[in-house]
Amino acid sequence: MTKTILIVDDSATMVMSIKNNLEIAGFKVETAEDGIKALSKLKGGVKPDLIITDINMPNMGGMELIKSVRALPGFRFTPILTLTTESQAEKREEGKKLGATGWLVKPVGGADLLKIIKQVLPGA
Amino acid sequence: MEHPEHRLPRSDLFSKLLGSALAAIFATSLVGWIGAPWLHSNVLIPAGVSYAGEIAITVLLSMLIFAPLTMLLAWPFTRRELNWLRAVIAEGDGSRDAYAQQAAGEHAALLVENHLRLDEAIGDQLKVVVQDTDSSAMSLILQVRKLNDDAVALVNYLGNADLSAHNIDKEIEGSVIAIIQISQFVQELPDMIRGDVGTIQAAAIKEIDGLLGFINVIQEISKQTNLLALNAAIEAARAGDAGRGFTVVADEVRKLSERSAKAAALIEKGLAGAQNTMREGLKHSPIDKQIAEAGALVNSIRQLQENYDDIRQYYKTLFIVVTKHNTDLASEIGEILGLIQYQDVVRQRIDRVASAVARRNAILQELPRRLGDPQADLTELPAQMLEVLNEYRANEERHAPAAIGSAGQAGGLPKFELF
Repeated sequence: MTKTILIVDDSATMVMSIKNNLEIAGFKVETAEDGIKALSKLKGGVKPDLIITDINMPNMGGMELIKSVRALPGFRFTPILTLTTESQAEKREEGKKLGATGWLVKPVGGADLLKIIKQVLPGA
Repeated sequence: MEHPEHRLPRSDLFSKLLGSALAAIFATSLVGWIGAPWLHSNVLIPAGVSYAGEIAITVLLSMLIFAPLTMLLAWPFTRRELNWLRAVIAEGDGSRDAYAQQAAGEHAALLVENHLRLDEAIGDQLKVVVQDTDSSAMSLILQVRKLNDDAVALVNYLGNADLSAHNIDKEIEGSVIAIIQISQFVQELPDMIRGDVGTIQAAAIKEIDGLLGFINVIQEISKQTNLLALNAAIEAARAGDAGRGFTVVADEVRKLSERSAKAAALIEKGLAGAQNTMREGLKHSPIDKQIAEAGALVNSIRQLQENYDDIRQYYKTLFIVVTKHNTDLASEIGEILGLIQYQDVVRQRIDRVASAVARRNAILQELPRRLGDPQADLTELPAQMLEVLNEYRANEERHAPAAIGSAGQAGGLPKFELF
């Protein structure tokens, strides 16, 4: 069955880049430009198998989004990967504590991204 | 060293005042040239003013126009010098430093203003660069996606063609088998015919031989009948008149015997001819030629099948190679899409530079204000600027990205980390 991935990033270039990479690999892709819109989608019935989110975004950043998603019923175990230019250990630790599944530093090559996704989504 | 602004530029003041006075004289003369006749005719003569009085009034009026006009013209150009004079008058010699400081503040403000305008122009250009790279990156993504779609369409087409070819392959394979069976039958047919003909020939020859045996019997019977008829004729002659009828019968029997002998000879000749014709006919039969043609036909069919197998193999190889290339292409497209993410990395770097520049400019804008205020403290501005620098550096350190393929490191930590 086709897996669905939600991409959250305020950069249209990033969204398009990852979206196309994942669609070519056979995934169904949903997108949102900030945390608030992502949450709205999740509350509206979108049930992704994986969420990939940026950290620094307007309105609602990635950290707050992770915290909010974990508080939503049915999303406690949904894998969440951060995809950001931030690389500091403190930020990673903060993300981990909030419930992130992994930390990816931009830019990520297409093959690397698919490899990581297969690790967090076995059978994808 | 004394700052240039601590001295009053007297030559400048003099030239500005002189220029203003000349302009005022010109304006006053113009007014006098136009206004004096009118004043003379309409005011002074009717009022009975004497010539001396008229000159005095005219001079007075000229002075009243000239002095304010000179000041008015000089004001915009000599404001700074007049401020200095005012400061000197108001506060004495000590105010020269205050004035100099104010002047320095004004120059610094001008400098900062120009600097900000330059920054604004650079910032605008950077925004254009970001927009251009963003637009280019999006176009690139769309083109790359189209490339992938075309490649997928090609593979799908080849896949469908492969399916069709597979069906055709089965049909051709069935046809080839049928053709081979037919060709084998055709190849074997002459031997079968040859065998059948040989059997028939042997049987016919045997039958003919048998018939020839019958001919011999007939001929023997004919001879015996002839002898019998001869003996009967002899015995009939002995019998005289009594045997006359019997003589006739004996004669007829003899004639019959002769005709039987002739018929037997004809049959024998005919059978011998038939036997000969049968033997000769097989010798000149086109069976060997047909066998050779059937063999060539089978070889051609086999050649055709081999050619078809080669084509099929070539096609399969082609399909495998194209599919492999398409897989590689999809992988390379993924890498290109990954590289496009640099646009976002660069954009964020520019945003951070812009943020640091805005903070720096706020400090620079504070500088002329404080320079113009003798009571203001300048000492904290360098510290504030240093803070901006340190925070900018720390922020960059925090965001330090690694290039794709740079041993998977980002700022000393793994680029990808699963918790």
